[in-house]
Amino acid sequence: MAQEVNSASPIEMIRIVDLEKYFAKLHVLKGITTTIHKGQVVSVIGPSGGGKSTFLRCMNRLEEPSSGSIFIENVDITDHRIDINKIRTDIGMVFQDYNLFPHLTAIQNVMLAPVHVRRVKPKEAEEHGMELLKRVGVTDKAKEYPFNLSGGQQQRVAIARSLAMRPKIMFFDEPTSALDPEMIREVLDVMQTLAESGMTMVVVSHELGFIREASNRVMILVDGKIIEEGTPDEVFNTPQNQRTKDFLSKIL
Amino acid sequence: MIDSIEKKKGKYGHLPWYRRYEFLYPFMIIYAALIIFVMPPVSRLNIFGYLMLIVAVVIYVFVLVAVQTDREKPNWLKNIFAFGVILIFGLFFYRYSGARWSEVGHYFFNMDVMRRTGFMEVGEAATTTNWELMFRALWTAIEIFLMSAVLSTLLALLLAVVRVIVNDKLLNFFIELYVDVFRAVPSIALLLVIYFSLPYAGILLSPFATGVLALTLIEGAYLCEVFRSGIEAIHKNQVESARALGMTAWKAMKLVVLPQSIKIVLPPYTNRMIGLMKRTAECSVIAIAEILQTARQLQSWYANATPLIIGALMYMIFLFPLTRAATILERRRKSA
Amino acid sequence: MKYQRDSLQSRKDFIEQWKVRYHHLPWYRRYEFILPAFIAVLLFTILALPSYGKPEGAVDTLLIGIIFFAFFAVAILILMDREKPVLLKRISSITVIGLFFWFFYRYSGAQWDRFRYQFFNISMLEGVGELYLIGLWVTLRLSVVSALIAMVIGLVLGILRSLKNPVLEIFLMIYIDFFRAMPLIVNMVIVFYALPFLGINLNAFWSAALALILMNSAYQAEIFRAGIESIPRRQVQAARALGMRPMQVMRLVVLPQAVRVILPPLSNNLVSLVKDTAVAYVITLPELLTQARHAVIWKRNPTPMIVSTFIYLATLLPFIHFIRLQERRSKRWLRK
Ligand SMILES: Nc1ncnc2c1ncn2[C@@H]1O[C@H](COP(=O)(O)OP(=O)(O)O)[C@@H](O)[C@H]1O
Ligand SMILES: [Mg+2]
Repeated sequence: MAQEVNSASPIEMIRIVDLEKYFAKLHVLKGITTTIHKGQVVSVIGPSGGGKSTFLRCMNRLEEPSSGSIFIENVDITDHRIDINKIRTDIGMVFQDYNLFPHLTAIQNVMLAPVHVRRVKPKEAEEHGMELLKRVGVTDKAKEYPFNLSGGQQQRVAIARSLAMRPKIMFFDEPTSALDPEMIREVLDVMQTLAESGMTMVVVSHELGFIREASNRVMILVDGKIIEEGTPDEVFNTPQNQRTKDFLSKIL
Repeated sequence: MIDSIEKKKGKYGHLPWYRRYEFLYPFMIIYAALIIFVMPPVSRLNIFGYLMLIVAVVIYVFVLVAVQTDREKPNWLKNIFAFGVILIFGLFFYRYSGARWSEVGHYFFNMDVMRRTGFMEVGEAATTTNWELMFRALWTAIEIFLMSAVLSTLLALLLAVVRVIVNDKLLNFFIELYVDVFRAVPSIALLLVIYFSLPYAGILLSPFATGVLALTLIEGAYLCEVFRSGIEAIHKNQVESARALGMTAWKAMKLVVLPQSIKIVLPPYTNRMIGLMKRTAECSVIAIAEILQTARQLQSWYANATPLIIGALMYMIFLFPLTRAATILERRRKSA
Repeated sequence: MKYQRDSLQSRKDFIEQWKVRYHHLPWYRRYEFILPAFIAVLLFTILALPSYGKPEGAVDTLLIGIIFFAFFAVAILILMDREKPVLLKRISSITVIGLFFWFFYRYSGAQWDRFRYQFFNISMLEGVGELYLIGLWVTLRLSVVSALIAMVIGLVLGILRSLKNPVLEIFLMIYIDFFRAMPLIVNMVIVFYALPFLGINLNAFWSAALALILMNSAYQAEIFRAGIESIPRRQVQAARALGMRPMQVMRLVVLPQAVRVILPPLSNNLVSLVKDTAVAYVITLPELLTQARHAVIWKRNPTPMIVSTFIYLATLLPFIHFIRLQERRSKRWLRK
């Protein structure tokens, strides 16, 4: 179990107020209000098409929210006067299909953003990058191009690439659902260590083992609304909402 | 009122200035007003004027791209901006190309010229209409095309098979040499060399034979590459698994290899064939009475461009549908 | 079993072994057939064929053709057989190549004694140097000017196509397919000889450039579109999520990937463009080929023409070779 957040003085990382999102006429997020504290590991689960990815992508404005506010460390990122790229450097994002840059080697993938966005010296960036690759366990593939790596290795490099920006928050959008079973473990292990190190994480995933062990909050997102949230025990063992029960009966 | 403005601001506040309606609508109106009323009417411009035209087009294209890449703009607005491009080009060409539009009918679409007989007023030509001459020319072009298409296909197939299947180093060297050389030589140069230079060494070929030979040699080189990639794309495993199912070599070829190869080869093959038909026009430099040659003679005889336009249309009628088909074939293969 | 030294016995053994070793082969792959066939055809070639000179009549021509193909077939049988020794394969491939050139030497009807004097007569190049220089300069200028402008237009058209607006799509499709279907030479002739009837007078250089630009920008639009569309949106999003600005995304992620997709077909297109400048011969632009033709007429010797062909070869062959290498490399890179 990840370390419990000190409940006496939790530091607020993300606060979302009445977030709504339309794709033309399609109402995808229907008023989401929640707060995520520093060091929390929040798992978001729900049926496919329920808006989980959209929810994550609104939080770093890869999608423009239609209305509502999102505060990251008390800065309203829906305000268009702020520099969203600054905010994004503080938020790491890992995608379902890795999205490594195919024209760069693993280490170059990791170094690219620190060098060009954070203006870190290439040498320092490389040292830090190698350290990260070691942390995710792919040091021996540092000079390989993505097409020579397995799915699990690619995903771990992608995690290292996000970590290289020294983010305060990490988003994971179904990081293991494109992987073969034997590779899922290696990625989840990396994520678990990360969780234990105190990183604030929002994870869309259906890996129940990981959710129970690593996360301290579960949100169930159905049809654009959070219909239930609580600790894994509460949600899995004593669900309150009928739709939660229906959904859980399908995946448990 | 103020409320609705506030709401609008909230809704579009996140857009950069060039994507906001406050910019786009005035832009459209001012731009249209400028090019319709302020720019000079039909006339020739000086260099500065033409530069201005280019600047105007560039600005428009930038705005167009900004509008089209905006996922939140409605489709009707995008379509209006798209139409705008065509209108602008049409207007600019109409006004500033310096063409005398009143004479297009007389010089470019003068059917009277085509109906006349007596071109050069000698021999048989005296009683045939120019239409007939043009259609005869078309037939000549098709003859050259068919002959060289068949010959180059056979040649290329043979070479490709030898290259891939026989795969002997020495033979491969010579085949590659042939392919590279004939891909590097302009077809007109080859036609001129064969027709005007080889006779110096005693090799005399008729214009028709020259045309067919030159086009066959060049097309054979390109097609060899096309077929080679088609044959190579079939993995050895495919053949072996077919053989493992008990098929004879021939059956494996017919049932497994050929259907796959054809799918790969067909789009580039069609493109090459279109190119070949286009290149028959280059045979006009060695005085074969094909479409272009005939059209040019008629054009200078009657001092009227209609035959040329008719000639171009003949190519179009043949090749436009084929080009379309080739594009579609290519798309389909890529999406498969 | 003890080894038998008796010669008769060993001979029997040898034949037995031979049979066991090769009896699984079909008749046309056995030495009993192949070797005699090889020798028979060779002997026949030497003894039965007509002597030096152009073959007279269909019978001789047919005979030569049949013999060559018979020989070719036997050689192919040997070369395709995995079990035949390398030496035999080498001999047969060398013989095929040798025979090909020998037949060409003997029966093409060329007067080889005059060959050197006519085609590789360095003394005929005297005073031609200046003509060549002018020709080269014009060809180079035409190539560079048309390539640059065509690439700009092609890029814009490619971007517009990738926007997927249905209205733009229709107009662009018409433009692109029209100029891909129109033979370049016809286009050039129309621009140079027909447009003046309307009062649009372009000189030979700009007529040639215009035709080249129209055609190649159409081809390049497709190339650029494919390059742009080859980069999935997810790549852009991943880069944006790392905090890169749009221009950084373009420079660091999109362009380097697009270039790898675009470069091979684009350089192929540019090679074609350089080759196609030779078409300007028909509108009397003093480019390389035209100048060579002038030199031929002046010197009454075809050497200048041959030399100009070699100039094209020498400039374009390295490019073609380089592109082929690049293509192979990028194919490996794109493999996912
Ligand atoms: N860019 C988009 N344009 C239009 N509709 C979208 C877009 N992205 C997602 N959607 C729609 O929004 C809904 C929620 O999608 P998503 O957030 O991906 O769900 P989840 O990740 O929970 O499976 C789906 O119905 C999807 O079709
Ligand atoms: Mg999703």
